[in-house]
Amino acid sequence: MLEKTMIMYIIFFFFTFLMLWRPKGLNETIPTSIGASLVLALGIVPYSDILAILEIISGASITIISTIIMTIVLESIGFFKWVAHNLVNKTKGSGRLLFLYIIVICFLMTLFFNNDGSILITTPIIIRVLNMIKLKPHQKIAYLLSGAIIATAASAPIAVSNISNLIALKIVGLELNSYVEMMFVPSMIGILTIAILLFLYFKQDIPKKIEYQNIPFDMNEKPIFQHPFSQTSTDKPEYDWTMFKICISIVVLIRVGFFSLTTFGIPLEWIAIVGAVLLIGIRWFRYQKGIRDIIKKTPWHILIFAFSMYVLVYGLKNVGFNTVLFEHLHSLVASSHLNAIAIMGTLLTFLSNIFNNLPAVMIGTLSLTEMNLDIDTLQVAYLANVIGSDIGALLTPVGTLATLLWMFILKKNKIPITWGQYFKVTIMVIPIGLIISLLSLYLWTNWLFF
Amino acid sequence: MLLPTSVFCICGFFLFRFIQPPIQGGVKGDITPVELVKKVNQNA
Repeated sequence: MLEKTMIMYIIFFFFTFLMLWRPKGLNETIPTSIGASLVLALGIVPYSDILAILEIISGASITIISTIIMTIVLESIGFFKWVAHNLVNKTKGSGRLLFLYIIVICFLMTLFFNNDGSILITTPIIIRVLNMIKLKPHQKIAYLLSGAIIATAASAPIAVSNISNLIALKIVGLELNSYVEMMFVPSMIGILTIAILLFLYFKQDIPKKIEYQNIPFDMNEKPIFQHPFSQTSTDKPEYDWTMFKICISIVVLIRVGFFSLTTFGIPLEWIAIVGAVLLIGIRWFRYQKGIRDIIKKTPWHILIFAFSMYVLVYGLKNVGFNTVLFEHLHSLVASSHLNAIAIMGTLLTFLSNIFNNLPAVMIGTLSLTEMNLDIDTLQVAYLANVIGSDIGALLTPVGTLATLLWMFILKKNKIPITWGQYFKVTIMVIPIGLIISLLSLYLWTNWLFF
Repeated sequence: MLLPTSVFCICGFFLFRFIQPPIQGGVKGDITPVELVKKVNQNA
């Protein structure tokens, strides 16, 4: 048994390390699926559990894939290029207004799409904007880092913007609407705190006036960074305002539908699929454009990635990793809501910054389900897990895949930022934001729910 | 259900404000609207 436990730990840490390192741009699905295959082959996770694991991760993965398809359709009609262009023109030459707009747009992108998608879309948008106004490298970092932190933290207020939150939601059996009611206000207080702290930190680097000029919009302009969702060419030379209006209305309606229709028992993934199909249909109707580009650009491997990650975490659980957590934490977590929130929020911050928030939130949630907590404590502890893994995880680049992806995009665009530079900012911002979020969660839930 | 619905409606409104093109024939230097581009192309 001890041998099996050691093997499981080695497999988990080695393949998680490979997933985070991504040597030579290796897709993160490859190391995790090799690790998961080994765990299954060694019998640490029995084959009989495969169906149960698939049931837990499939809905969340399909929801996220459908959201990404919606993003690809919007990208193909030039929506994000238009946003970048409009952003500069709306600032009217104010650097501070640009900072505010970048933060708001990053927040909205995560709210309406998802956190990884938001990073993939908004980072090239911000780089494009900053290149338009010719800022110095340290000034660019102020905008880029603030945008990335807000984009990632913004997945906490609603559960649907982050695959790990969705999977964990399924594990604890919390309703989507209850999640938002308990979580929206506390996490928004945390995000606002982080935004203010970021502004204060970068105040000297944010120029009061920026070199501003109205630039005509050209959809065929070569993009600064060719990100995975981008379209290389299009036969429409102008922006299509009507199409933008229709598509964004559908995106908003689908998001509203997530919360209103799930109360009638309609699965989340079905609503997401309807949204994706609607956008594809409308694009076909207006431009007679098929689905080849969408099939090509959609990251279908997310399903395999989520499955293999969950198998790895399940393997850890089967060799008793969660029992260690249970033995050390159970009495403390069960003693009061404040303890549960403080302990789980800190633990998840710690775990996320060691081996990323996706496995961390799964481990944390599975441990909670084994603690036989009363339903109220289980729910607040789970919400503290989410704050730790979405906000606390931002302390180091390892914490979230979105941050690693962000650093990779910056490197490709020759805007270097070291881990030390990143940490110098986050150590001043994230711990305060985390403590305020956790404290707000305790006050908010105790005031209104328990 | 009311809270998330209101949040998305408000945020959706802000998103619309963000992407809204400038008024046609507005301030000097505004982005040229589609119709104007078409007319210019026809005249060229």
